[in-house]
Amino acid sequence: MKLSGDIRVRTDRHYRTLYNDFRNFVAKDMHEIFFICACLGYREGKRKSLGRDGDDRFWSSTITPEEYASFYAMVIESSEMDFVAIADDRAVVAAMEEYANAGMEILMEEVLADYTLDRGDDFRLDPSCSRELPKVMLAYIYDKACE
Amino acid sequence: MILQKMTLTNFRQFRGAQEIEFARGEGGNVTVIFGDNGRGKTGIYRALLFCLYGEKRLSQDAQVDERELYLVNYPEMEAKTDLKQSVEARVHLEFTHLGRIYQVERAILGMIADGEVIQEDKGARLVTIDEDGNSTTTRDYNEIATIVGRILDRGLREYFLFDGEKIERLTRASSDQRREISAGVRKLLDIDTLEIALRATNRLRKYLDSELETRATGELARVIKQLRENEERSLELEERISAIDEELERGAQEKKQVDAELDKIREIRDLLTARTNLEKKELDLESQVEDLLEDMKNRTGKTALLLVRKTAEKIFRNIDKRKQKHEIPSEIRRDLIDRLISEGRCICGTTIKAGTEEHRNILLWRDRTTDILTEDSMLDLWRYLSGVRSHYEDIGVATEGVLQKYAVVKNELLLTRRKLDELRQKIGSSERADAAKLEKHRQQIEWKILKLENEHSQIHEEINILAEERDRLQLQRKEIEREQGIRDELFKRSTLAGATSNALKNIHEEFTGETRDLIGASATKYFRELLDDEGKKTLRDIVVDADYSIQVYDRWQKPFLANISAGQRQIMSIAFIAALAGAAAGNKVFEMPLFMDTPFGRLSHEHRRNLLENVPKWCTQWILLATGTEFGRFEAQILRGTKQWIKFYILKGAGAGSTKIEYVDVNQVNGLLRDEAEVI
Repeated sequence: MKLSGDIRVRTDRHYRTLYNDFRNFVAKDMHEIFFICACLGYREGKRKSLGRDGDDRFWSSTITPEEYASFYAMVIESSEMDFVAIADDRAVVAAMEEYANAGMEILMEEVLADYTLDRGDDFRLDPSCSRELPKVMLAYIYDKACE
Repeated sequence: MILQKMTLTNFRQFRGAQEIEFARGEGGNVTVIFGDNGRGKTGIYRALLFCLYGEKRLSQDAQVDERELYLVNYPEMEAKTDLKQSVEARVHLEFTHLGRIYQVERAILGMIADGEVIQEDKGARLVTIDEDGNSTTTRDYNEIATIVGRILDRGLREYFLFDGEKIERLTRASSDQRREISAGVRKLLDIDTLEIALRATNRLRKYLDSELETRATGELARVIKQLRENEERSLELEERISAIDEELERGAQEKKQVDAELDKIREIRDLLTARTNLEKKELDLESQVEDLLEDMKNRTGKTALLLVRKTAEKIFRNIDKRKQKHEIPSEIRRDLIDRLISEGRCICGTTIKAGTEEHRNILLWRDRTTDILTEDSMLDLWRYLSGVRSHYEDIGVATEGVLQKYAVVKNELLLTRRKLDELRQKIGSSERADAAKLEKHRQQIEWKILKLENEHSQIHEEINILAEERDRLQLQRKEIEREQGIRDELFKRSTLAGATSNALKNIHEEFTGETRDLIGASATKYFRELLDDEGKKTLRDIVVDADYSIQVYDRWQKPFLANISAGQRQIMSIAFIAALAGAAAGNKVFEMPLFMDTPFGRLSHEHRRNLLENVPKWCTQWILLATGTEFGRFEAQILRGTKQWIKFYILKGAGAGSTKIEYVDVNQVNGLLRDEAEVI
């Protein structure tokens, strides 16, 4: 557990544009979107390997200590309280990438369907109807957290 | 003209022959013809004008096709349709004027053929009976028109036979109407005879001057030429003045219309202000929404921390528990235990052999301990999680707060927009553009009026200069004629024509001026008798202008006509008519009926009272055509008090399209009248 800043965090290449669009509409930065997706995937107990679709998205240096701490907590819990599991930050980030990948699918299904345009090999937000998305996302996250 | 009786036969609603005898003379001069709307009051007024002047249309029928105005009783025509017979409608009027009896009769034929009404004049007849009983009869339309016109000129008929609600137009006359009024008044006062003489002497003078101009030589020829040019220029300028007056009148009318349009926009001014406020509020709320959305965007990441709060709490508690049990940091380091096992000796010196109870316990102890790196990580994580935990509540409260605030602002925005939509619907869409256009148009009219007024005063100045110049030239001409000792007959005649023309002009100016003053003073007297107390406080004098239009002045001697009510205008017009009749009669009684349709519609209680009490004293005959809404027991009681009211006729329905005229004794009418007539 070193809160490493030199890791290239990867996401599914299909979500590349969406991550960029999100930065304008939903959150301040990539790491926040990634964190939201990872938390959602983890809560639902879903993880999905990136496989060959992985695509470098951002440097781990942007991940905040609070987010890192939450990542470590998730990894420890999922490994039945084995604290050794957080010794390797790359492994932690890799696990989170899988949770985030699944989390984005959940988001797409539960929230973003009405706000995105499917362009075949990727998605993007539909700006014509995304004005209120910050409110929709915040309410969705808060409701989930309160469940 | 004093009306005696009128017989209507199949005229308008009056089926069969029906007669009205009018009150006249010292025993009583007031007749009331009473009926609900549609019963035929205006039909009687129409019958009078038809009989006297052959008029089939009233001013109110301007928009109606003459063919659609059925003067012949419709039910009677329908009854004769199958027989293909025509019906004759006839009005017979008997009146006296200056000791003579006049019997006028006019008829029109009507029938319905193929569903269409066809009407055709049948002819007219006027019988005149002089003081000695000798009678003459004429059936010639033109002769009848001339004789009746001499008694009551057609141009003046609306002064004495009028619709009460329209008489106030005397105070609102356009330039065309003013000319008409002016001509009528001049005729009534016999000023027109003087004017004819004045015009004739002017023509004569001009003719003689033009003759002289060809014969004269030298200085005299030059002066005569200058005089002619001066008069021509004056005439030209006077024509231009008339044109300017007309343009000014049109400009004033147009300005009035624009003002009325602007008033309509002003009526919705409150709505416009409310809309502006709501538009500002909408902008403010939209800006708040944007700020809140930006705020929420910044909160999403933090709020996501709550998604794994339970996990983080669980891990924190686990580490914390282990810390409390002093499992971390461990008292004995794992590398020390490893060394003891490899050396086979305890710290206390006891030998530890493999497979012994002690050896097994040491191995178990080693398994429970954590390596130094993991231990450090746990402590770091404990610290981080401790920090995160302290924010959970704040993050929750802040997130809920911003979501609630957003809901409130958004709801307010929706309500504001709904109100705005409602207001916009009420207001309409283009009123601002219209208002701006109208304001601009109004400004242009004002500029034009200003320019015309300026030109008007410049022309006036030029006319005055020309008049002075003319006087000077005339003196010069006289001087030259005197010096040259001209005794030529033509010169003498020209000089005499000029002197006559000037004398007549002076007489005309003096007489008309005096007459206008007299009418003004008399109208003021009548007006003040008719005015209610409130009006008396504000309004003072009626002044008759050169063109016989009337103006009223307030107690500060400022023109006030534009500010008086329709009722006040009505009584002002009646006062003017009474004054005009008085001036026309001189010291004698002016024999003319005052025939008023809808006399009190616009009048207040007090004005009605004053009118009812005073008019019978001023005029020789008063005929009122009134509805139940304007003539009730109150009005009847006042009129009875004058002791001049002796005739009452009620117009009663007698089947579809027919009215029966019934005479009722004035002392028996209360049962037919309402307690209170409607008063404005």
